[in-house]
Amino acid sequence: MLATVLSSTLVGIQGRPVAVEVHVGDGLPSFNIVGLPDASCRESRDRVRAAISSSGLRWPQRRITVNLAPTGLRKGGAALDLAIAVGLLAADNQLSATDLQERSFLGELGLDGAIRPVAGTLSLVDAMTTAEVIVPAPNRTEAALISRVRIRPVLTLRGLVAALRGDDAWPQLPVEAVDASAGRSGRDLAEVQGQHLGRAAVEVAAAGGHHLLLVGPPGAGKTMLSSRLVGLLPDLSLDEALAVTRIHSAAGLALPVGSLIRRPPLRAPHHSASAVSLIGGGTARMRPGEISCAHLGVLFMDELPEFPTAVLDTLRQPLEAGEVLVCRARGSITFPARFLLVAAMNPCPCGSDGRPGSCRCSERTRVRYLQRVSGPLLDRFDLRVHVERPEPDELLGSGLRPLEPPESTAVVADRVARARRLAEERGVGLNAAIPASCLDALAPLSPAARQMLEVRLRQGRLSARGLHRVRRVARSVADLAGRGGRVEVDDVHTALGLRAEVSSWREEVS
Amino acid sequence: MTTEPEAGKSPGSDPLPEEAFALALVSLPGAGPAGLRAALHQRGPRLAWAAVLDGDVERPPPRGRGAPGGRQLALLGNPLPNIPPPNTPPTTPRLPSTAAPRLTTWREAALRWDVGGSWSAACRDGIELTWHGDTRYPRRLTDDPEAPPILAWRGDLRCLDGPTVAIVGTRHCTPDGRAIAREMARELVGAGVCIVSGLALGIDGAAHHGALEAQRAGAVTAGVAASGVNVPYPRQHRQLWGEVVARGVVLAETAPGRPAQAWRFPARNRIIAGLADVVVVVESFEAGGSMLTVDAALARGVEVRAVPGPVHSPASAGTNRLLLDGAGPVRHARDVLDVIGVDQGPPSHAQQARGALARSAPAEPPPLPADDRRVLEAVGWAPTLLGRIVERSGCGVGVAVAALARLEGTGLVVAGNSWWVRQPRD
Repeated sequence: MLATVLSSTLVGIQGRPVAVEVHVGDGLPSFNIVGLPDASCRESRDRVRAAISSSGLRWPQRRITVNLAPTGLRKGGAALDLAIAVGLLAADNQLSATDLQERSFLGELGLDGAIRPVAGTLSLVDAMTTAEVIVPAPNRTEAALISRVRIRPVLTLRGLVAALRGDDAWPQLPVEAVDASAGRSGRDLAEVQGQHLGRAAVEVAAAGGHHLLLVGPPGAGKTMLSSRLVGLLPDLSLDEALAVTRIHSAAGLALPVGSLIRRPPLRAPHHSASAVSLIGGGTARMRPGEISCAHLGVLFMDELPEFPTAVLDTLRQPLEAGEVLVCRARGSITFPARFLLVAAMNPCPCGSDGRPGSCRCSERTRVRYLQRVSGPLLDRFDLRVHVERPEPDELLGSGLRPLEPPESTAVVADRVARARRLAEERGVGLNAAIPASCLDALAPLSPAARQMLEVRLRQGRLSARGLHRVRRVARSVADLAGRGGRVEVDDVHTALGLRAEVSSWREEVS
Repeated sequence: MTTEPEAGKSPGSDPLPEEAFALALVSLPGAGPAGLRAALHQRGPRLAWAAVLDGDVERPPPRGRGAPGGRQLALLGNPLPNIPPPNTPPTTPRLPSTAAPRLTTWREAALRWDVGGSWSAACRDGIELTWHGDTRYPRRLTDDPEAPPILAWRGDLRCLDGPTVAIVGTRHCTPDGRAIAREMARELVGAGVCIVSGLALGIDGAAHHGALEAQRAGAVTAGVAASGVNVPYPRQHRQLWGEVVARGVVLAETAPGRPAQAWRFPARNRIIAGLADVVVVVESFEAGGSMLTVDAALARGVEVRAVPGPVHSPASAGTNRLLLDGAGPVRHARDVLDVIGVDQGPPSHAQQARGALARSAPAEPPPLPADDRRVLEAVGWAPTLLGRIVERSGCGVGVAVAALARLEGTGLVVAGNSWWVRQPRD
């Protein structure tokens, strides 16, 4: 007897339809799975056998062959367990073929017959071509994001078989509604006292999508500022939210209530991260890397020079392209990776603030430390800001200058949203992405600003490349001030102030 | 008399001068001040060398840990000078590098030393030597409790005969500290003083540079090195060494050709202290090496003066501490000249201008736009980061950057990497 059951498997972050063909025939009892299953997929033999037995169903003592078509596609994970079990029961005539029509199955089996959640449900369900999809109950909210299919959440194999046979009703499980408001979680910018320059940099970064490098001694508030940046970004649109959710689901990350990620994600990998963990790939299956998990959100890299140089340099291409093509012998996959890079580093290894008179590192030590971040990567940061520990008066206030409460995230985010709308009206997604050829049209300079930049260029204090970046940042500064037209000299000055040189000062030999 | 003294001589040459034997003595492996003092022992280098060859002078046993002698232990594994003496016959057996080097006596090392060859090499390099008791030996060190037994020098040692001021400080100085040291040295030299310092990066280098800038002929500055006098250290100061030799003197108690060991630096500091009429500390961290110079100066009864610095500047923490502990403050060269009682002569043009500025203090604020004035006040005398300038001035980032660009144009502030620092107007 032969039965065919539809399911899907995950390749990178995309689902691909898979037909599970089960043949139960004469011969010595055996159970084989063919069609490029990987280790976890081959193990489903044992899970399926145990689950069928513990669900009170009959295990056919015959020769069983399972084929996963298309056979050229490597299948990974345990998501095909349920389809294999159902196909086996149909091939053994315990289920009728009509019960399986217009249905696909998704789920991992426990030895007790429980149906367990699977990673990447969103993409897997999206790949289904049938009208109805049977999914593990914990994945039902996520699966329901694909509105064109009917979702049948199930808890156990026994319950599923009963429902398919019509002996029992389908389990009725509520689907949590997507939280449309999606409140800004996390810390508020109002908690950051002082740090005018750092706050300005964070605001401009959020408005224009400019990569930000914070340089400062330990305790200067680099991490504090970076963690507030993600709160300034506007909510994701529905398409963006689905794209981000798809990646997080495929990476096996926890999803929020309602399963749809409405807020830009923040990912902060530790500096021991490997290149593959950041970029994506892996042996078992192609898993999205941290840069893809930070897609449309913020990738925060603390202690930037502590990352291996080779790892840092792998970031350069995705930073330009907004996606990364991961190639392996078995195939290649494009992961989206349009993220805002926020990095933090100490000015020198001694932990002081890196100025002459307080830093006691030798010039060579400082140069070696800074050289760990390559020039081309450093150049990708439109915003480079030195922060330092706040003065006591800024933290505690003084008799003469009482502490004024800093602006809250809500106020600043509002400004950022307005600035982003101005950029959108101009037809470019983000100011950081304005092509150099369009700068004159989209970010025209006032005569004074033009003259000032000319002087800097002539003095050799600004490179041609730096000029473009300064102009893009100046565009964002002007947008934040609500001026969508010409870029004024003050905006350019601010942009220059937010783009400090990060190189070792030389010990003058007098 | 044995024939061994002749073994070191190049045959057929004139009798070697005493200096040649001083060079041989100072080049003995592990020759520190204590050992050389024992070797010289009230006699000239020639006799001392003969005594070494006779085995009359043993290498002194290493002292306990922590004392300079203890650090010499490191030397024991390094039996011969790093730079082999010239004209050494290739057949000369080298000391076994590891086998029982600690038992090596000076006698064995001396037997292998080519006195004549090394002396002619030193002559070619313009290196001269003097020893405690020699007529050319600096008179200030004669009665020093830890007088260096043998000094090598290049240049003109007589510059130490007149009034001397040591200007010392941290290698990690601020631009302001550098400017102070430079200006002070220049004006002191102009008043006839010789500047003594340690040829290091930072304040030391600035002091030497300032001295060299002065419009005065003759020898103006003395650099006391921790390495041999022909081994410039740090490398960045190679050119400075040449200039100091040309217009002053570079001296060291380390043998020529040898690099500096760590313990040589504090030892060098005591010579700086001993050679100076007054020690001026321009900038120093709380536990900086300059504090060792200060200790050495106090032990010798040499006056110590400190230049006050910003309270928050770590580079001035040591000097401010000295002020609190009772060292007198000095602001500029004239204050130093008052201390050593040198007639100051007519004040220079710059000094007059500054005096006038000080008297007419209320007129000092220059006519600057309001933004610029606020930003200028926010920039400290120590390097200040942009973030702090923005916070202190209350201006926006753009306004502050624009104001800083203008102030930099007028020379009121100097821009560093990401910081700005105020400059005195003169």
